Amino acid sequence: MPVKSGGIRSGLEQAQTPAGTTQGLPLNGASKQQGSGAAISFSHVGQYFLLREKSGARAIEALHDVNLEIQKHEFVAIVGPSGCGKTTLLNIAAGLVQQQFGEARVNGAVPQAGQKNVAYMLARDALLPWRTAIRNVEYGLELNGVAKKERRHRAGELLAAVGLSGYENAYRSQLSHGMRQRVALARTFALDSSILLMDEPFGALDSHLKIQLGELLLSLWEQNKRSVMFVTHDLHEAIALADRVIVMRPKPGHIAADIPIPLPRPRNLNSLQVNSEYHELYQHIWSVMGNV
Amino acid sequence: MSENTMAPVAIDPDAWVRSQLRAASAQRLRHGLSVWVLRLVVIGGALFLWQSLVNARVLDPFVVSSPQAVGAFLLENLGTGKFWTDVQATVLATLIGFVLASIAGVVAAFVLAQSKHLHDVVDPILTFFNSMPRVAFAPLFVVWFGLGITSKIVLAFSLCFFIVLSGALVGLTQVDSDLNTITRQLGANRRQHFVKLVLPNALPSIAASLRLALIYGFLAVVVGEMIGSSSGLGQQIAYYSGVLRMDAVFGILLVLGVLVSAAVALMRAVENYFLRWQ
Repeated sequence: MPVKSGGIRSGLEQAQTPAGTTQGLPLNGASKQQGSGAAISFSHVGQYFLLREKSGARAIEALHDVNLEIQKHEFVAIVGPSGCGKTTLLNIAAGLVQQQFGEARVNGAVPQAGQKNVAYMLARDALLPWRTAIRNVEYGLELNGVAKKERRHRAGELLAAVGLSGYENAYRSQLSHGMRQRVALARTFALDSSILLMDEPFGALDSHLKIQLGELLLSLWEQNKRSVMFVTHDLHEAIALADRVIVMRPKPGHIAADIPIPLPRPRNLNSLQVNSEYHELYQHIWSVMGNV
Repeated sequence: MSENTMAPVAIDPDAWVRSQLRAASAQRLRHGLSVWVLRLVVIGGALFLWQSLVNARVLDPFVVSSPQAVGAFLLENLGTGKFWTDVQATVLATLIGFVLASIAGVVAAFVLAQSKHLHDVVDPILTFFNSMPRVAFAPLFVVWFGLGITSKIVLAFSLCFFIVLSGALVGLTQVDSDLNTITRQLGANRRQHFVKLVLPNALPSIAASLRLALIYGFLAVVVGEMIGSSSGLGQQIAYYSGVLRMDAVFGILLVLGVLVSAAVALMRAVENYFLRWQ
């Protein structure tokens, strides 16, 4: 089998488990225990994908022995170049991909698509084009049987929170990219899920809108701290938003570094641009990421 | 939003909106008017050319008739009960065939959309039946189902069914994967997934296929009536071409064209209302 298990890796890139959480993994075998423990945990997670080529099929190791814990109320960003497995890891937590090796737990349970305590957001807005903005925000509430009056009220509040009051009855085709992503953000928050899984949610936006929506995300998150797993390829965004930045590297996808971000909260993303600590962190993590 | 550039002249936003709306509706009116005027010019010009060529004996009125003769035929016949009985027969056969085929087509598409396996099995079989020129079945259907309305309904059904089936199948199976993921993540069960995502997603292609099917339904019924029928506009066309009454043939074709166009326009209006989000 032409499978390489990542033999040539320097010490720096060695998969690390953050200090203090190594002895964690209290969930092995005790999945009922939900009160304590991490919001999301991965232990020894591995994943292969089948790649078909002209010369034949081969296995690609997308994830190699990934260990990671995301604590309750923690905002963790995962950065890395494309192909490092960050989206695969997120999709395992979302229950969209079943890992082949190791264990994954979300609030102590095996991840399942459609789990009520998890909200999921993508780079594309994924708004239903036949629904108005407000009916898109209330989509999740509607699927979960919340009464019309109540869900309409809640959706209206969230639309106002993302700065879109007055656009309740606009269809997707009538909204700009930034507005669509705001609606998607409001929909993500509508269900009050304790865990947010975000796959480059602002990846398709220009840098100005990115900062605007990042601020918005932080302000919503500050009101009611949820656990966030935020996948991005934008290191600036990762440092600005997160409590911890996880650096992943490809071939095979693994965690190369786990770096706490001690910047004080609440953060103002605009003033961060001239914060020296922010830039030092950026340079440090950039050097860890290496030239991939 | 947070731009500092202010318009140098203060404007009343409400008045501005009103003036913009007024300008837009005036623009629409002008456009519509000019379109209609030009349309009438084109039609009138063509009729005028036709009539002049006949008057000048360049064209033989016995072969191509003339606008005057067609008009005379219509004036004479549009009021008669016999004519409307034929219109009724054609429209009724088309509507019954079309409605039955639409329901059956959508239901069949729904069943096939449930299973890729089943879909793969029957796909080439459906393609085979769909690629047969169904109009050639008309004489057969007349033999099987008689000179009455049934043979026309069956012929219309055999055309419309496949059109609706393939249109609905495309709509029901091509769901954007992100919308699928989000709907699943938000906790939809199977029924909700279908009712709130798959079905509305399929409506535009179902609507387009219904419009097409209606046109082909008329075609099928008229051909069926021409082959063998006791009534209907197709039967009238066959009769009048047999006795070389070109004015009557053209007159009936005109009525058919108006009928089908009106039906399609009506469907488009319904569609535009339900699919106004597009």
